[in-house]
Amino acid sequence: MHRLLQRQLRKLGLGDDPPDAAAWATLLARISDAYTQNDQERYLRERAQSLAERELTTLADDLELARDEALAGARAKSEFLANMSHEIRTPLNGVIGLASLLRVTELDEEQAEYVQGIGSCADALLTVLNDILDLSKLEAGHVHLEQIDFDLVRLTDDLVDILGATARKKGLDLVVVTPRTVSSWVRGDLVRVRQILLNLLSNAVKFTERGHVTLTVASTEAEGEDVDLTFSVEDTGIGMSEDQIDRLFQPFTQADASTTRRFGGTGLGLAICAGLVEQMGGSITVQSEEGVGSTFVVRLRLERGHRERPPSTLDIAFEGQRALVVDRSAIVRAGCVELLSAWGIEPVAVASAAEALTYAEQCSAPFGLVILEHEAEDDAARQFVHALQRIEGHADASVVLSTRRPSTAPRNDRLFAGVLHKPVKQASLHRAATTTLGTAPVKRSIPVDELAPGHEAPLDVLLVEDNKVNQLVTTRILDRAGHAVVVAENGVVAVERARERPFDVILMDCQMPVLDGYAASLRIRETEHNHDTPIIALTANVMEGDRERCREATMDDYIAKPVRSQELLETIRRHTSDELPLTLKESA
Amino acid sequence: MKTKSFTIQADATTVADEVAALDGPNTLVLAFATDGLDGSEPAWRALQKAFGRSKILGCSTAGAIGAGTLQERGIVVAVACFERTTLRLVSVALADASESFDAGRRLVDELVGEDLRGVYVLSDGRDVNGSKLTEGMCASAPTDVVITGGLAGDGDRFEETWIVVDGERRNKSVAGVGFYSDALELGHGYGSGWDGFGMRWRVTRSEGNVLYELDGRPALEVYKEYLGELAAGLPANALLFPLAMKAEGDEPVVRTVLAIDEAQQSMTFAGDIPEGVRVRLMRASLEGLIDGAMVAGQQTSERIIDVQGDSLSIAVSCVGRRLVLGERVEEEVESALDELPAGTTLVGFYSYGELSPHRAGPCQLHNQTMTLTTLFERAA
Repeated sequence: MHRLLQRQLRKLGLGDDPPDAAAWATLLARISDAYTQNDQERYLRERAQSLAERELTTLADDLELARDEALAGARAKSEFLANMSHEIRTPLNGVIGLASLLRVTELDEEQAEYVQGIGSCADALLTVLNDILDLSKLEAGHVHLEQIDFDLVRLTDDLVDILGATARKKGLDLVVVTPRTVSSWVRGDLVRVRQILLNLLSNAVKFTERGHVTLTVASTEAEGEDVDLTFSVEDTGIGMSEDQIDRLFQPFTQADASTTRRFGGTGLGLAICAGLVEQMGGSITVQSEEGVGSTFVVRLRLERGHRERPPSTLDIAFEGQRALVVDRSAIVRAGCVELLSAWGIEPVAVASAAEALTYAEQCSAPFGLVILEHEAEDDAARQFVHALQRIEGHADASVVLSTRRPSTAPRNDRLFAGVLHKPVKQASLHRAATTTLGTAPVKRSIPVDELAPGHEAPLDVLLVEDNKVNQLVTTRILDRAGHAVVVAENGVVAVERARERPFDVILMDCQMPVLDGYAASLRIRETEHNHDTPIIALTANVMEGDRERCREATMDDYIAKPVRSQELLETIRRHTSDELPLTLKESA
Repeated sequence: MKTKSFTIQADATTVADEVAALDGPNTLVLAFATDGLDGSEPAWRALQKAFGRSKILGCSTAGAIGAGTLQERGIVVAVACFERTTLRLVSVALADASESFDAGRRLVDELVGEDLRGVYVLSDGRDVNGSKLTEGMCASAPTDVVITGGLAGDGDRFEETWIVVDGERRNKSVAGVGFYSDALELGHGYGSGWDGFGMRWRVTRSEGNVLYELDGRPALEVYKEYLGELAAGLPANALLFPLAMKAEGDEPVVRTVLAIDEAQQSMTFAGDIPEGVRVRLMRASLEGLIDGAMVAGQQTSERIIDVQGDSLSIAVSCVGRRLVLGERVEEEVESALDELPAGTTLVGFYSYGELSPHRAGPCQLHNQTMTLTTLFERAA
């Protein structure tokens, strides 16, 4: 019994016998009071609860409003950043473009040095700008990943293209090793994956003085549609201590301050890589030993590409064909062997011409293709071919030279089937295999890498650009490549020109007076002559959503300003050649 | 220490010899009229005559507690003759309530001295701001001096309240008796029994003890909204729904609603409600209040152990509790008494404000609580 009720009973003498009637009445009154109090308490609690709920709802509404305002503020800030980025890029575009034009004019040594200085300062500025933008986007959580089908082969070849010249200049072997098991088509954010790998590879090239840099791609099937990719970037460079590794992925730090002085750079690259990898749900790790080298490993889970690999490339069967690889570098041999065997070719790799000849003498089974390292400006290659052709069964071998120094390669020499530039791109090697081993009519003596983009068929280009400096720069780049350029200074003029006659490609600035590039593109799609002409956007806006806007305006691709000639010509080539271009339209 | 307590009727002219025998310089006579003082002049004169050498301190009340229950009429008197304690009685007059802080400070300043253990304070309950008085006293008092007491009442009329110092009635006055001793044990306890419910509001506008806004809304509107249909009983039943007031880092204290103003949508409280504090509605069950008195009893007893000989316990409970408890008011007295050491003399009164520390810390003005001060002297 409740102790207070016990007290009542004691007080009222209800333990006594016989019980007192008045005492009972009092007790009942007490109990009745308790019931009434209980009712009242329940009423008040329920009322307080419903009022509190109402107040909390109001509070939640207020918070939502405050959040919306905060988001609007953040958006305004992003827009400011985008505008500022545009304002910086436009003049930078001019500096980089004009410097590159100036570089190919008649200059004395001193002037050339100054121009070189202007160019590298502008490039450095552009890198800093891009890095800071990327980092601030990452930190603000504004990096939105796109899902686009892309070809890993294309990606790695692009990387080789971009870094090849530097690697060649330093005498480094840059090798991509892609085992045959790797799924070629995957789905993810191509631009970001490329950015991560490019950063790691260019660091590797930058910090390696001799030896090699390899990119090894491996894949394992994961659950469902996913595929786990491992990209390992290994170098034989200066390496890092454990202390340095610990600080490696922090923004604004390089391994140490002296590194910055020695090698330059913002020190933001790895922080951005780490941020992007994290955003993609992957991991980045590093192993390194001072003086020995470093290995960065990026693991990403991507979807398998929704698109089938286009049948035109890399799928021609070479079953039963044999190839011989002659190269001093084991890593180069390994890369070639992986690729060739992935295509069904049976490769044999040796380290020297002498070994190759010995092997050929012992084995009469012919090699359809011989890839021969050629580094010195001498007659060794020619002698090798003569020697090989004298061996029984090898008279018909097609010899393709691979070289780090294209200038030393013999030209128009029917003795050689072609020339591959090191680092060798997968697509180039494949073209070499197709030309020499394929069932297609054999075109001898076509130098596989020797066709510079600019020397392809001249194109009719419509350049839509309001800024005079940019007009000049872009026109000159196109002129030099042999293309014919018509300039329109705004969207309205561009639409008029597009109505008059067909163009092979249209370069479209996005922000222009009178009629902007987005609207102009949509109108050009309605013209008779240019409804399916590739339109490539030139934009100084590199913020999130710009690609989306371009795509909505039916543009085929975009180039971020400042426009660099190689990138411009390469992009144009992609959209005008028979090769399947990697475009904005590929995203599902 | 020897203690006696008795009730003297308003028209009595003498005091029994056996209690008068306790008269002496270190004898405290506490006298609580059961209501106002009208008509009780003969009794006060009798007390004055019988305890010519003693310190006599009393007040009008909202109900006096004696002989273990609420007394209906007359004056409840406790006589405590200290053997190892020296007493001093001091009073301070105020021109108006705005001098409350200074009055508190002056009162304690006058009493502070060697061996001062505690001060028991009685104050006019209407023309003195209890919150400010308490702040003033605490500003002067050394931290180890315990201050307790209460504000005088007058039934439940809030018209005219008195204190009586050495036989002389005064209002706009505060008086305190200081206990100087190295043998005195002084226990204090505090119990409430009210429960908070609903949202906690921030006081966004107030002046002194008048509350205007809670979270930017008119205070009375918010108050009525939460009471719902029970708001029909206002202002009478406002007593049943005080506010718990909590400043940052402090213990919450209870504030009773004295009046509401429909035109201003404001509420007046029996203590200040500073801007910025958080408040919350409270309610109580009768059982809760009775339990609260028990808590006060337990606390005061925790502080005095090994009581030998006589001890005196002075209860100050809120007039609000008396009104809420109604005929069951005696139960809270019993509930407190149950927890006190056996043989303790319990007297007390229903007040317009209780003065007591929380479990520890400085003295504060409380509403709607039962507080207990218990005194005894250790043997030599």
